[in-house]
Amino acid sequence: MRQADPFSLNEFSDLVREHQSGLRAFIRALGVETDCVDDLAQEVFVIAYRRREHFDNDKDFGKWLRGIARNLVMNERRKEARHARIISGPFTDMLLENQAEKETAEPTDLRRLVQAMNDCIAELPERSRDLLRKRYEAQNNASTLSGLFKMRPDAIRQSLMRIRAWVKQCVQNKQAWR
Amino acid sequence: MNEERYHELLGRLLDDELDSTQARELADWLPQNPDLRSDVQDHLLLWDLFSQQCQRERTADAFVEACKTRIAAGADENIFVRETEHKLRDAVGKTARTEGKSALSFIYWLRRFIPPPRWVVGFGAVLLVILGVWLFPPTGNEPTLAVAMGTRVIIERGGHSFPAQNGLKLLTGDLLKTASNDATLITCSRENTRIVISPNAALNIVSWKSGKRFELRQGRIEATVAHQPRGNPMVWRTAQAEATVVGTEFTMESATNATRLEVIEGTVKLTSLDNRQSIQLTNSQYAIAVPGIELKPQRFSGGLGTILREYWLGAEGFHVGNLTHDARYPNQPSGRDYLSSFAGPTNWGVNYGGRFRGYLHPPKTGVYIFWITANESAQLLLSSDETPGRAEMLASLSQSAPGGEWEKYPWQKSDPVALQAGRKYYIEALHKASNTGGDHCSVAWQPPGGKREVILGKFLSPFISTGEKGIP
Repeated sequence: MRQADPFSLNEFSDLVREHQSGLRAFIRALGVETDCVDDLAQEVFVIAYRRREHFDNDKDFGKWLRGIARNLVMNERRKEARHARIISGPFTDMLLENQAEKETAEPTDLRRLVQAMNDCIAELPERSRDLLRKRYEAQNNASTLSGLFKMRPDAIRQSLMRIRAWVKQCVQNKQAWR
Repeated sequence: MNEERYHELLGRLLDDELDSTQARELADWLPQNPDLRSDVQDHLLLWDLFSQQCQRERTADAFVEACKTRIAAGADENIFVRETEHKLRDAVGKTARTEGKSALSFIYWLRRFIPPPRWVVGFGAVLLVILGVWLFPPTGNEPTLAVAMGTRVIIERGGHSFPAQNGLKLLTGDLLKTASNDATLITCSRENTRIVISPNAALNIVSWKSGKRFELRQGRIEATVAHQPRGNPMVWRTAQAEATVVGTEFTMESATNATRLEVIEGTVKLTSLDNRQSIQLTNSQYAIAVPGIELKPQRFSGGLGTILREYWLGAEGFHVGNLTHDARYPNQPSGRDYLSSFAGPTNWGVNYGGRFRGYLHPPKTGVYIFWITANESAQLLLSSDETPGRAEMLASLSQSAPGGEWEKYPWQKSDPVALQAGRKYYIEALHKASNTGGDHCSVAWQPPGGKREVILGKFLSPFISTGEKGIP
């Protein structure tokens, strides 16, 4: 395994640290429920650790992890809807397919992407930053936020969506995305 | 769908407020809009990265620690069950050791005051034991539940439901339910009986003291039963049958319309509740109780040479999920056949789904690689043993590949898998053919030192079917 003694859990932990963030975001992008993303990502690493002797050092470890993640998500797809950890079967099918088409493209530099995202968020007006923080740090939903910001829930949703769309466009303008 | 609606649904998706109808609306609309499809995926990715930064429980440190714990624990249902057993055994051992130590200390204490001869000490100890048993009768051989942390097991007792804790003593009348991914274990404090309850099972403790009686309302159990007292056998009841066990190792599975009993070792008497017909099952035999069908013992090592293929006609869609979400799946296939290799028919039809099921018998111990190819989509699963419930996805394809094309997509190929000669492994492939024609589905392997080839029937045996009304 790349840069690691395949039998050392500590060395493997370094690889987990290196790849966890991108892998979790990748799993979420396959339509996995927010609450289940980390759980599924941990399963990917458990499987990778169990099969570490089969990993070819010359190959891309991140790609290998993403392959395992895809398979786990497809496993979820096979479960009954109420037991699956995905948002919806057809929706995940569509995202899996879309992701498969992207796999051949140049991978995104995650550090650059996160840096660009943070830079863009820093450019937001204070109130918008506050709304994002309250949504993500405190995990408030639109109803709670409507009380905090004295706005209707649908207006909160619209504001959040406008902020998100702006941040994404800003990240793209910084050419941090692929 | 206009842009406004799209943004509304995207916002709901990112805020975890999207319901299944809205998810379907989005999924139906997005395939025609590749740019927006990528937009959804990029937003999901970006805002998960942001959430990782914001939430304390999602930091890299917290994640790495959780991973290390799971890796160290094995994070595998079987290891999990084994560990729970060890913990339980340790706990029981500790109690026994503690009790033994107190008794021993008391004897030593006695010896300080009572001079030899030693028989006096021995007599004293015997007296002490008799007195102890009389004053503090031993607790019954109660069933104890081993529940590992994070496992969801619900107990219904006296009209109330509560989540089970590790070490819970089960009472007569308790109804135990396991969640979809969680197995649990019942052990008995004074005998070597253990019952593993698979996910999605419901089990009622009917009686315990005068012979252990259980009602398996649904799901599957695996039991190793210590020799039971004469006249008080262990009895398992389902809607269709009753199994009387004196001491053996067996599995039992209860579905709506059938009960399947497999005896690994020992003897179990199976009685159909439909007509009271009884048969005895011994080592490596199984039987299925279905109302109106004669009970018949059968060997469960299916013959080599074929693999079972079940098919569902008139199933629209491109994805395997379209098959697995078909109302008729898995219990009502349109038909089934037995194939002499792991290759389904070509240009056989449109809009159907197929499931290949069987056991793989590797000729050599070593590392194998598997491939799957299909039109339109397919998944290949392999178990670490002959249990379907342990099957994991090895390879898949969500877009069509031509027949004989094994490496069009990287995930058509499995990671290397270590297999042992002389053992058999449950293998399954799911196939979805769309309306485009050119349907096919095959599985190949590369044995140690060999070349890639479609898996031949001589290395396969069919899944042991439970009959037309059987359990999946």
